[in-house]
Amino acid sequence: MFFLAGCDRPTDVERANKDKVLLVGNSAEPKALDLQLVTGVPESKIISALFEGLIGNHPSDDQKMEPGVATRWEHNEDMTEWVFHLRPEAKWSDGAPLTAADFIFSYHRMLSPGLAAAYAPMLHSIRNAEIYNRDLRGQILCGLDESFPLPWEVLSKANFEGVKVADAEKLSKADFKTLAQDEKRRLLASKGLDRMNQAQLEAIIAEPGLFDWPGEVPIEVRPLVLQRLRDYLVAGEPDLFEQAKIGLAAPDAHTLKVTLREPVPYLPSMVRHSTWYPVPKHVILKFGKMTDRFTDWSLRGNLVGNGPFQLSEWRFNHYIEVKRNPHYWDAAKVGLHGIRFYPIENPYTEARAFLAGQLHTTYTFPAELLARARKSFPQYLKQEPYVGTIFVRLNVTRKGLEDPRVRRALSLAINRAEYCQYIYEGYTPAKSLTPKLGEYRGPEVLDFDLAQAKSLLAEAGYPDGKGLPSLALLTSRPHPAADALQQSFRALGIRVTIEQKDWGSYIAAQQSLNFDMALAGWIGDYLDPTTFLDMWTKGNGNNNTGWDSPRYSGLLREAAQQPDTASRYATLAKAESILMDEMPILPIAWYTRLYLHRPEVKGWHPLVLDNHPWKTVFLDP
Amino acid sequence: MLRNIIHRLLQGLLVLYVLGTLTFFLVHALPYGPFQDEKAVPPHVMERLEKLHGYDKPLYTQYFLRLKNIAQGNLGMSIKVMEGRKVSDILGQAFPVSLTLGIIAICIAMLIGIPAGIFAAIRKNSIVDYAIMTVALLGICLPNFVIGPMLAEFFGAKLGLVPVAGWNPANPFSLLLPALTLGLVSAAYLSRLTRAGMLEILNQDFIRTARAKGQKGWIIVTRHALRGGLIPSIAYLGPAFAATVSGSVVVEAIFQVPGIGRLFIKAIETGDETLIMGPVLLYGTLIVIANFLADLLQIWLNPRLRAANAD
Repeated sequence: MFFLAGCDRPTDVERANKDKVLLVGNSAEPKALDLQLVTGVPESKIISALFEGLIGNHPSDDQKMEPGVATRWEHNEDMTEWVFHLRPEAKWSDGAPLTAADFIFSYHRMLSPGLAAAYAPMLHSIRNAEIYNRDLRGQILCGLDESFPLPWEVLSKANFEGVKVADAEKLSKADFKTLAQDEKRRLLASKGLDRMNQAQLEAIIAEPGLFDWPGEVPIEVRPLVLQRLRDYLVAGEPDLFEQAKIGLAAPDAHTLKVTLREPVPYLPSMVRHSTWYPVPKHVILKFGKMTDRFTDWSLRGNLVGNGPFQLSEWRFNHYIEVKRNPHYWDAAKVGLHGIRFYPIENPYTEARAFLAGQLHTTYTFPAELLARARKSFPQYLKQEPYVGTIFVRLNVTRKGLEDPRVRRALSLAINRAEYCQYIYEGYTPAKSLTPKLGEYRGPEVLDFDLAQAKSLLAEAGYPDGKGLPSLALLTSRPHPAADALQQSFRALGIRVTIEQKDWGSYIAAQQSLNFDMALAGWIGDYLDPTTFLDMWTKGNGNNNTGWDSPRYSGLLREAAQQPDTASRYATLAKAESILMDEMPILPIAWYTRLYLHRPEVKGWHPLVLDNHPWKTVFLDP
Repeated sequence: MLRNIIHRLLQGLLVLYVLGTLTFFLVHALPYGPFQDEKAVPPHVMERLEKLHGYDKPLYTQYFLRLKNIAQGNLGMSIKVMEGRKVSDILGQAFPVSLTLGIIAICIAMLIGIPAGIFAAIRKNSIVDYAIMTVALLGICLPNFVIGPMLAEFFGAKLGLVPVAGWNPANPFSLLLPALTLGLVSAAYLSRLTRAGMLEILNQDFIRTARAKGQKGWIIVTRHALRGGLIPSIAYLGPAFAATVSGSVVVEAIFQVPGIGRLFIKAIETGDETLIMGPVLLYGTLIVIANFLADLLQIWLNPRLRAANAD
């Protein structure tokens, strides 16, 4: 046949080995490469080849900090002031010098409310960054102004951020002028001073009765606040970056000073996250305003980075190719000539492509093929711990689940070792929420004990599950774990139905607390237990359980003030014990990253954050 | 004839209008919106995004704005999946791939299906007929997510003849497996339709007359029977072509083909209204045109219809 001609051609991998190009399975087509706007893992893999942060990743040790753009860094005693010394030879890939001003521009852009970057909270530990990012203009215009007659501690008692009002959405859609007096009051209360428009502020100035002030705010100060907010709107909402006095400074071109709102001993680990990378001011402003979302600056031909590689080819849904960046400060050490990222979403297709010699390393590997892999191609199989946890999220506002004893009983009914043997093959049975992270050890309390589970359930008033309503377990796709949980909970006499929704509805149901139980997972962003623990505080957008504990939040706040890592970890472990005692979530397994990898790829070691620095990888066939 | 064509065109426009309107309101009735994310989106970010994409306006205002823009040929920007990129640009990159795949697949289907059907009809009720029809039935029953991986495993992984995944226009072999997978189902249908159509014609009087006159077998088939016998297949080809081009989602995933299908699914999963609307209208147009052309072809092939349309 005519296609036999293809027979003796070398495989893609063999050709790539010769060209020193790494072929990487990368799951999905990136929606863009603007590192401040994208949030996906596939994007972050490419971005880490194109950009470099202040501190880099060590090829074999997650705990070690490698110099990146910064050659060295130091901090004051309580770890609230950090100084990064940037290497003077650092350049953008177009040859322009990279200075501390670029970093300040980058963080300014990332935090600016206009850009609406979803990951901006990663920078909130910088002093005043949060109030600027959340556009809390009352605090910036009045609170941060020392000449203002009332200190912020008092003024902040006023309703700046708005309160919940049942019919707020309906009221806000109507014409303000046509509303009845009482409706106006409710709408204004729901908005809060920070979110009001000019007409609304003027309405209050004309008619003070429309807005409730706390008694602590003297009557003569109130118009002053309204006036400042109104003037700001009249001026066209100018950028408040300067007024916000954000803790960023550049004493000279190669020194970056970062002042934090609280001690962050793990700041070096945090700045390795892509949200802390610099973006090229001179390029971004060429293609639009600073706060324009998704302009053409990050497309091929335009994108300028500062990493070991530069973007050379972007073929839609086919591959993205990067080539060595000659302007990179450490270019001599870069081991590859290029990397090709293939957006292969189907893991089975990816495995086939790998085995046919089309990829050096895959993005993932389906657990159900583990047995076959162990038998037929064990030399390619990689199984490495990864900072992620699979858990069941409980809605503690639901009947039955509001009782911590019931939640503990549910947890005790889960035989985690068995789950990791048959369903999450290769994963580690979870002993608490946070997996092993450096020196941190969470409370290792999770256990399987049916007898105790039954007695707890009886104690809660539901002997053998009697009296408990049937609970629905929410999933986003069919998963054997859902059936297994159904079985586990049936052993307690609890009836569980499986409710499968598409991805969007699955997320929406959790965010609106419209579910009983949900099968979920969480991947850590940086190497600190707070990446798992912060989300369970009250008001955190990822909590979605209805649970909150002042004692838990208090301990997290306390930990945030502790510069000493050992005592900080102890406090965090105490907080995690509360979480594991109250059980708004049922951790099941700690992630393992499964993937296929060719032996000729060298300089690649297991890393729990899976942030392999591309610059040290090389090919040795 | 001309009146007929104009009539069909207007009908097509109405179909597209209803299709677009339904799509718009259905997407907006989804329980989730395009701005939510796996990790929670802060409220002020949500507010800003809604304003940016006009989601803060009343629904009917949004509807008329979209209608006006689309009528002017502006499909808008993707809201989520490829945020900030023009839908027309995205379709411009992905549609040629889906179209190429569809055309090759339909060609494969015709090359396999029609000869097989003719052959089965000539050898009616023989072993050959049964064998072809059994294989065809299998082809109809087996879904492409079974056939695809099997072909990839055999021709790609075992024999190493073609790449198991990926789309490389420079290497035509990479197009072969996805097109074959996609084409096999249509080939199966075509063979059955062709067989039935041929049998009907072969039983007609004028064929008997030809036979009686001593005409050779293959000339009877090619000259007299084929034209009429293919009518059912032609009627099927129009919709089949549109379905092949638009229905390649699974095949695109199996073989990593950069077509529209995967984007479309992602757009639906995230409620990216503009990126849903683009392919819906594109596919809608394609189906309208394909059906129209199939009708024309049928009229041309069938003397009775031709006479009826002669006014």
